Amino acid sequence: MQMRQRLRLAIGKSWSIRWMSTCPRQQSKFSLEEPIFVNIDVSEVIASYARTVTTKTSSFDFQDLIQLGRPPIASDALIQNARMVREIILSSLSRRIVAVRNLPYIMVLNPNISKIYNIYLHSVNVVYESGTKLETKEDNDRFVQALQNMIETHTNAIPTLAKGFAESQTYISSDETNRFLDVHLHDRIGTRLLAKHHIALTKQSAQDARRDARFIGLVDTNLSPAELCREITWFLSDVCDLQYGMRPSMTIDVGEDVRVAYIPEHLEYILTELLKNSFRATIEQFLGMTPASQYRIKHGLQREVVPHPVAVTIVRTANGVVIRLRDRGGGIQEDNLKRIWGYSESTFEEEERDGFKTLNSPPPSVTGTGGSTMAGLGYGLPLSRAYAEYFGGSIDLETCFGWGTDVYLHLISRL
Amino acid sequence: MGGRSTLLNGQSIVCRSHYLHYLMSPQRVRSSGSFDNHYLLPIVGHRFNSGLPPSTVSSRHFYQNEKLLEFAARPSRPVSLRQLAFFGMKLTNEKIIQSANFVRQELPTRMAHRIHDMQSLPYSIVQNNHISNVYELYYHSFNTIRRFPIIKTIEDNGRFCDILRELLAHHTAVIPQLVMGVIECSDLIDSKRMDNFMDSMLRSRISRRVLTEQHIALTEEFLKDPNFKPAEQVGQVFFQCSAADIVRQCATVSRSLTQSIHQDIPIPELVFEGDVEIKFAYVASHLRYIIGEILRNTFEASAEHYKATGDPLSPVLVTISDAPQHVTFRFSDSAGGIPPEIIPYLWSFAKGPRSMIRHHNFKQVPELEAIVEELEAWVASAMGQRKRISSLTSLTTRSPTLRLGMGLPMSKIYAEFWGGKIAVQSMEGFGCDVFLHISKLGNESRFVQMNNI
Repeated sequence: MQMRQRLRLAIGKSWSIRWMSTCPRQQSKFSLEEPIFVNIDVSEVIASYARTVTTKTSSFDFQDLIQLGRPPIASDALIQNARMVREIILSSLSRRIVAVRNLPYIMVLNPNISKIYNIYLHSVNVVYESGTKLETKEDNDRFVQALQNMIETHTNAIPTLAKGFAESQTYISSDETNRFLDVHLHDRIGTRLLAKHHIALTKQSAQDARRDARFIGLVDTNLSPAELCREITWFLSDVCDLQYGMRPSMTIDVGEDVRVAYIPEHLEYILTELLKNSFRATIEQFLGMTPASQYRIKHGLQREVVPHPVAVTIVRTANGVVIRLRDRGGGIQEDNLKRIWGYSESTFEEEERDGFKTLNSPPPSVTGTGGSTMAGLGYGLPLSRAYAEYFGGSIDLETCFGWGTDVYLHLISRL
Repeated sequence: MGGRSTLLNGQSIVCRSHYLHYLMSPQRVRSSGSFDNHYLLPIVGHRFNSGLPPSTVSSRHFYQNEKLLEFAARPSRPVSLRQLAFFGMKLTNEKIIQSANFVRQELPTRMAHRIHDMQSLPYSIVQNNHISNVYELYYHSFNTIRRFPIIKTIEDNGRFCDILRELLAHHTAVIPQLVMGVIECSDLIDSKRMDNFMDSMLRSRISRRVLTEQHIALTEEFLKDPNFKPAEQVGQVFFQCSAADIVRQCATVSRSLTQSIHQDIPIPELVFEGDVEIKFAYVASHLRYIIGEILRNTFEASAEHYKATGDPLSPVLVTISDAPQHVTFRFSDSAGGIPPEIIPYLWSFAKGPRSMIRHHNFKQVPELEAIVEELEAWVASAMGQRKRISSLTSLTTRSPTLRLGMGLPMSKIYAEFWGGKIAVQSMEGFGCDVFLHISKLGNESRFVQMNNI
């Protein structure tokens, strides 16, 4: 209410035109109920929140996610959590906005990038407004609604951003792109995680909620990586069958019974990406399509009789879990080793052939919308790494060129 | 620091010490002979820790440093593999003499760089017994070679090669000496600087030894058969190595060494997969050292793991993979992995927390002294039999109780010297994978990175 009145007052004044002219004239195509208002209030909010934490560290630990205990969670604890979540999310969103503002002017005129800019402004508005008073259960419910809105609005942000950066390659170096995107994705993971987690905690603490001792918000306390690998393999097999006419296979060598507390979405995304790479390499190596296999054919070296299963080893560590994926996909060439961790569109362009785009789509449970929104971006590996590193884990890769690759996924989760 | 050191059997030995130290120390150290010009003394019979040869470092040392600075100012010349190995070229008198003069110039230049480095280290470090021994040895060798007159005939070359052989022998024990020095001085210097120092010392040492051994080998082959045309097997240095054979041989050695201390404990077998039969050109002794260290670590860890848990040991998987420019060895074990607190210090010569170092100090040094003694005795006998002397061999066959903690950093230097890589991935509680990438050396137009060291 207040904001609309201010806008009416402001419309006549020249500075508002100046503000609004930093955005392109076309309206964002998201289905927002009202057009975006850029006014002094929001700018002040952004300015004050953006002053917080500037280093690329998460504002919270894995422990923080579960410290409230198992649901149902007492109402005041939930409200307290809501306040904390709001603070962190506002800081995060504000930092993103400032980062975009620091991009070259011409870049932000790119419709894709300005779209992103606008949705961030919108989200700051929404989250700020909805949480000015957080004292009762109804307040929390309203806040949860706002969070839900934010999540939905941003669901397709990554492909849009990627397109914007791809189109702006002449205005920004790939190093700067990588740096920007590293921080951007890191913040985005944190924001969405906190939001979804709070929504889940609220739902799980509601009167009529079904009691499931296994989940604390988004965290599955009894997650089985082995089972997850099997599900993902089952899904990816279909895709490979379509693409190559053969089905890959996977074996769990060690760690069938290992259970860990983690966020299923994250682990699923990472494993899907890594298994997809392994399966694809294994099949292509078998079919003689990779440079490694061509070298072997030329020199009469031993070749695979069947596509070798990807071997998975799962080990519980003091701080979490380590998962090793070992394939016989011919390995990765020296020059490519550095490129695969970057966000360049060009790697994608070279590698992808038509039918490939299907192989790149993650399972619907990850995207939530059932669409292939992450399809074929070449962002899979850096994004997986961002997920793994969020709580202090890592993804390491060692390759034996000519033979295969080993990927080591370390995840931190302390229960 | 300089002064006395005690052998295991209680005998007290006087170490050489600097003249200045001698003057300033309350107990005067006796040494025979004057402190004047020692440069013309023969280097045969030159022993560490013996009271006999007077110190190279006299009060005039400071003012006589000019020659060294002159040499240190020259850049070391890059060496191509073709030049080193003389692949496919017919040897003649002129070529041998040319090679001899190249070595005669290069060795002092490279040594001068390292001596200059040592001169820049803090006094407290180089004053350490072991490091000062190395310093004096280097300086002495530098003077000996640079004073050798220009080589004009094959006979000159013959005398030159004799000097070179003696030099190689006398420098055999440098690595254990440096290691002892590093351990003792680890509190005196920050670890990064120490690592860099060891790195350049060892790389320079490898380059000098390869140059020297190669020249000697070519001389010997030429004298035996003047029509000799080096093909794949060049002297004793570059060999056609068979990947699997080397691994099996190293495994046998490492296994017997480990078994000797863990007597009733089963040591896992090796299982091979991949391009097991490939052959490639490489410096066999380097490869044996690296693989020996890796397998030693694996077997030792397996024995410890078995003792701690009683779990049956699964075999170590060795994967060999052939690629256009590389050969990759992967060693996969299930020996329990590396404790996370050690991982940051895995590749460093100066090991982490102080407590570990003090512990090392206490346990290691007498054993290292023993290895120096052993090496010298062995060198003397090898010289008598004119056998090829390799300090690496002695390190490779050292007793397993001698845990230097240097296996991985040294292997890294050797692997990277020829453009390879070594990496370790540990899965805590399960096991380790070690990846060794070796650059194939058959490509003769490669430039070996032997400049600036």
